[in-house]
Amino acid sequence: MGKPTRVTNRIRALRFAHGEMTQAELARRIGVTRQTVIAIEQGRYSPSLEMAFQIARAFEVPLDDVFQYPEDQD
Amino acid sequence: MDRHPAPEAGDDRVPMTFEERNTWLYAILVPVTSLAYFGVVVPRLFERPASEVSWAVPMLWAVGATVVGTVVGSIVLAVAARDAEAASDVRDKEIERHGDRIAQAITAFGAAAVLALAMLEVDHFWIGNALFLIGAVGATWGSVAKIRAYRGTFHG
Repeated sequence: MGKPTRVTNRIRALRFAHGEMTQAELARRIGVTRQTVIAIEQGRYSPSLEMAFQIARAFEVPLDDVFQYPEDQD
Repeated sequence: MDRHPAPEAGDDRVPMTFEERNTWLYAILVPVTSLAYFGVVVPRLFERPASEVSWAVPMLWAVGATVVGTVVGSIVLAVAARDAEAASDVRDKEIERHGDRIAQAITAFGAAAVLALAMLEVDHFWIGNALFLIGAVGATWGSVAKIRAYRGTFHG
């Protein structure tokens, strides 16, 4: 099993903010299965940079409104 | 407070994708047919020398049953699921490569063992069955790795 990623995302909140867009609809827009959208939302799968941009474009927001990477603690 | 509270997680329960279903099918079929094969051949080994044990025909049956079972099972599962997730995507392909890499590593290690058996000029029975066992273990382990990637965390 892979290590959890430090990248977090706001896909679930953004879907809700965009007319409660379903996972299936987002999946259709970016050309993946619904299961892949779920895995990305839950941080269980890291999308490629291209797919990350496609997700941001689907929500019409900049990339870092969708994905965040925490500052180092030290 | 977040102006847009996230929706509940209720829509996270989804059927498996076509590729994941096939991976489960393979992960079950290969051990079942392999164990059935060894269940037929190993008792014969206690009755006569390895050089006299008939193993080629049962092995062909086991391989044939795996191939036919995979094809038929895949069709049956696809029809039974009747969902729109039949197409595979980039995550499916990455997980497939991940599982195949593991299977190939096991097969390569096993091939060295089989080479050693050939150098020792052991009977064909042992060489053929070692190859079959390594193939079955590699395929099963690779499928299990894919299932773990589907069910757990996978970052390519």
